[in-house]
Amino acid sequence: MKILVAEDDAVTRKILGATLERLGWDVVTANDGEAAWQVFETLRGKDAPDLAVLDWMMPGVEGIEICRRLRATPGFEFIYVILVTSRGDKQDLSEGLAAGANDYITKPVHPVELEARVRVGERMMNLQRSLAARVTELEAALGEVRALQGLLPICSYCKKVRNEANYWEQVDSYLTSHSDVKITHGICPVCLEKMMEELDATPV
Amino acid sequence: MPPRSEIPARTYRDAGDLDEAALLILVDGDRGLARELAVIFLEDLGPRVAEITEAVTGRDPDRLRAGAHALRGSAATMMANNVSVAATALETMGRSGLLDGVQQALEELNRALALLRPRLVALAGPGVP
Repeated sequence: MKILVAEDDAVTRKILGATLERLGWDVVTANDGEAAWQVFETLRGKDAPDLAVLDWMMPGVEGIEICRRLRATPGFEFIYVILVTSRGDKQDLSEGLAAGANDYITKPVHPVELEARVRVGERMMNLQRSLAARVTELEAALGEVRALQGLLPICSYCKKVRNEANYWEQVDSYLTSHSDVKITHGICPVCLEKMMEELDATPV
Repeated sequence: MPPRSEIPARTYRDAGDLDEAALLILVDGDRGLARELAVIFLEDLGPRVAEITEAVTGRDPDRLRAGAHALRGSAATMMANNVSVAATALETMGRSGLLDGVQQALEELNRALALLRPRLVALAGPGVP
């Protein structure tokens, strides 16, 4: 998983980056909010970070503003955001979470706490990816089902089906061309008996 | 207890100035990283203190809030608790705009920094300016 660390304080940026790298994550760093936003813009659709650890107070664009921008930008709206703050005020935390942050952590950031919070984020991102893949599968399946929906005109006598081009075609041919069904041909017991009777009645 | 300024020169290593044990836990025992952090902190310290001092001299609350906030976070990460507390006092004054006693608060910060600097220089090792 790729993680963006945006922090203007060099000491905190260094310790956050080193801790996350030691735990095996791919880390990109930015030294202010504008640089952080540039990372997302530059890596859009290719290799953008899945999770961002953003300092709340940075010169220029603050972490909370990056968070708002991410939530309002298609493609970035599900990035997991952890705000880093040295504030302990509940009102501030409420404001951060309302802006779309998933979690927050206070300075000094303890490595064990950071790892625990990032692992929660990683689980959330994996779950989200898995759900997105499942939705794609379901949409594809639904598309196939829809191909066989609607009113199907069928001849009451010969059982041929009238297709979109207004031609009458065999049911098996129609099904093969309108679905993923593969047809094997056989004979049912009723038809078999009837056919045997006909054969018996046929003069040799 | 006498004020901090009246306490004679230290003959012991106060964890309030720099809690090295806590810092080592923070860096997962990586002394090389702890040294690197000390070097970075010392490099940034001069401009940070200058910014705070100018804000106090110019009685500029916004500048004081921002400058003290930056030092507070950095010092907290370094486990330099006394500097972090002193910076927090200045940040609070800047945030509230009430600058009564700001000069004394700056002096308190400078005292805490005077005790922290040699500790960090020792931690950073030879070659640090």
